[in-house]
Amino acid sequence: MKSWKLEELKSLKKKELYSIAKELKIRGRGKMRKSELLEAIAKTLNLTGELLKEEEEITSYSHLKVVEELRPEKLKREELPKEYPTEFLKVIPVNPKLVLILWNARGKEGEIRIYSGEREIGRFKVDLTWKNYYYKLPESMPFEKLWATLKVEGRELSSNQITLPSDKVLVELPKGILEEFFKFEIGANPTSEFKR
Amino acid sequence: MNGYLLTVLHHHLPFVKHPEYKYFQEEHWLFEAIVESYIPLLQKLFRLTSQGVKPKLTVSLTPPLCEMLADPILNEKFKEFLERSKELAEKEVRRNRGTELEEVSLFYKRRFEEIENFFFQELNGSVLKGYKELQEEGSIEIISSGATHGLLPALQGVEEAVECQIKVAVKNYRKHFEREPKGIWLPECGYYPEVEGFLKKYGIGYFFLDSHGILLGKPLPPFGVYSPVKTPKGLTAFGRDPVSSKQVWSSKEGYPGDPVYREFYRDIGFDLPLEYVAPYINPDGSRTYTGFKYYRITGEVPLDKKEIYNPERALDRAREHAEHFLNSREKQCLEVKGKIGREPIIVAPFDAELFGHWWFEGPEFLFNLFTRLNDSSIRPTFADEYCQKYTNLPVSQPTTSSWGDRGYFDVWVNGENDWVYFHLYGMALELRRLKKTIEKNPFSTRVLNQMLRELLLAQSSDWTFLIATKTAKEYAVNRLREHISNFNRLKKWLISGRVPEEEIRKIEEKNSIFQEINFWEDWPCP
Repeated sequence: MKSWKLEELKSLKKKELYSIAKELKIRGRGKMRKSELLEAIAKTLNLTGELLKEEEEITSYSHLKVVEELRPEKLKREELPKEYPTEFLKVIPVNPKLVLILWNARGKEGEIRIYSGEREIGRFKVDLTWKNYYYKLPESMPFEKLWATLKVEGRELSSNQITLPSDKVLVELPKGILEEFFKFEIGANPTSEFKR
Repeated sequence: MNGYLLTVLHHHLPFVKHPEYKYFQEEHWLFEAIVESYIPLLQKLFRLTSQGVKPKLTVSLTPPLCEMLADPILNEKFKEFLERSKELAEKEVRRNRGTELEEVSLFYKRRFEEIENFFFQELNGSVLKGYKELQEEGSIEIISSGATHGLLPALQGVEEAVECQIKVAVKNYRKHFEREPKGIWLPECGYYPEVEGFLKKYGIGYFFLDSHGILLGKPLPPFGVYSPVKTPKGLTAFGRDPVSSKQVWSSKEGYPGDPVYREFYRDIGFDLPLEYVAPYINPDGSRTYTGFKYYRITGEVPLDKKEIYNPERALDRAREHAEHFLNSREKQCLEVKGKIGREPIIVAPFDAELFGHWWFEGPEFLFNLFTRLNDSSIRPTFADEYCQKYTNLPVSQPTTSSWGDRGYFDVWVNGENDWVYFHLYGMALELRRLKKTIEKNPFSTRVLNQMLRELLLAQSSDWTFLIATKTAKEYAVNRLREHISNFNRLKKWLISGRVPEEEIRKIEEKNSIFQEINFWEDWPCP
């Protein structure tokens, strides 16, 4: 289960809160109103301090006792690995102006350098516990190759190389011939939104 | 003759199988898709074939879907679902006798009887065989996809991971269809130029891209998306026609929003008293769709103001829409042909589940479209058939792209779901390391096979999609956590040299996709 922040929980619909409550095995969830579900979840996940601080004046919390027995330690789940044996640095294209850099590297702080071919185009320090970083390109670079290195405590990791996406029509359109057929919208395919 | 229409129906659902539960909500994605989309589509395709019409429809059936359709446990559960639905249909006819809902209740009763009949009599209880038969007759062409619908550009940092998605998919295609796939539906149309090396290696000749994948290519090909392009590596790429997709799916002008069509959101699972619908919804009491929907879209009115659905009127409208769609394509082809001096190809790809499941009358629309195509100025075609006719395709390098929202990978790689990739890469590199260090024997093979299944299942683009769109987000997160945890538990057992038999058996029974998998062959060397 992900670690929820109270803000996130508040933005959820009742149905979504219900499914979290179900996962946390909160008793009596079927009869709870939305605010009660939120409180019960917050309590179970040890977020109630925050909740109480924010809403103390307006709500009564007497019924929180109902979920008292569901202590977080009773619901402890298998943790996902925090690291893997092989160190790595990887680059994933997100869109023509954004790439995700991610790493598995031991140490505290490192320096990432971004290259296009042989040319260095960016350099910055990262806290290695972040595990990833979104690098915004100064401009789109259609079909250029991009890769990165990570220097950490005398070691250097190199990433894979990606071909950056294009967001430009790459020749002049022949006049009067096909312009109307190129009035396309990028990402205008609405099909995926219907998928449940 | 003015042009060609290449229709692609992409069939995909993530692998969802929960033998540990008698009823599991997310398994219904499959059951609903079977009764609402796959069977209605097959009914129409069989009818076309029996009338001597070859629809020449291109169909992708992804490996997870094939594996679910062939799974005995899921098949049993599907039959139970069908039984329950039939029982509800009969109850509904009794409840609605003499009311304004009588007609539409009878319609559903007949419909479920027909579906049941078709499933057992025509398909012999196997949806997959229906598609296979149509391919053997030459009515449809089935293409491959990624092994678990992994978004390949996001996996490219470990090359074996991408190669494995393709290799396992091709192997699975052979298992189910007993031939080699000629083309592929790249999951989410997710493309990056280097992927072609792997496609070529496994005998894939063509693939599909969203419009901008072709139109922003290097250089812009002279016929735009009205001809496929030859890539520098020698494969053929087809680009989606933006005009025809919009006509079908635009939420404003699109056909499925017509007032006479069936309203999706008004369902008796939510409308009727809990004690009445209880046996047909989630046993924990949470309401869900039953498939019994009695109202039509009507217009911009609240759900309780919808008017009663009239199936006949809706089917008439589907015929009119098919006619309209075809006329528009004829006009479009005529115009484009005049400008480019050759017969254009119009590529119209859709998610198959939208026909029937979402757009209830969609299969009827397709039936009418293919019937009418027969005597129109355009012809249905398969990808390689068009390429045999036009061998001098423009050469262009398509761009890295997808068919998702905003056109690239923002949907699957963002602040909500990017934590996944740390694990996907960590696990992939573990397999690389273990392949070099672990001795091959029956024990290690068994454990590594399951580790590979767990990694493949975690790679499905569905999970990151569901997290980003906040639909079934918790389920998606749980599935990812499950596969990552399983992978690491299996690894511990592998290294310790001992497995708790009962635990591993449970994992193998549940995440049973790809029984044919063989880690040592299927996880390639870098």
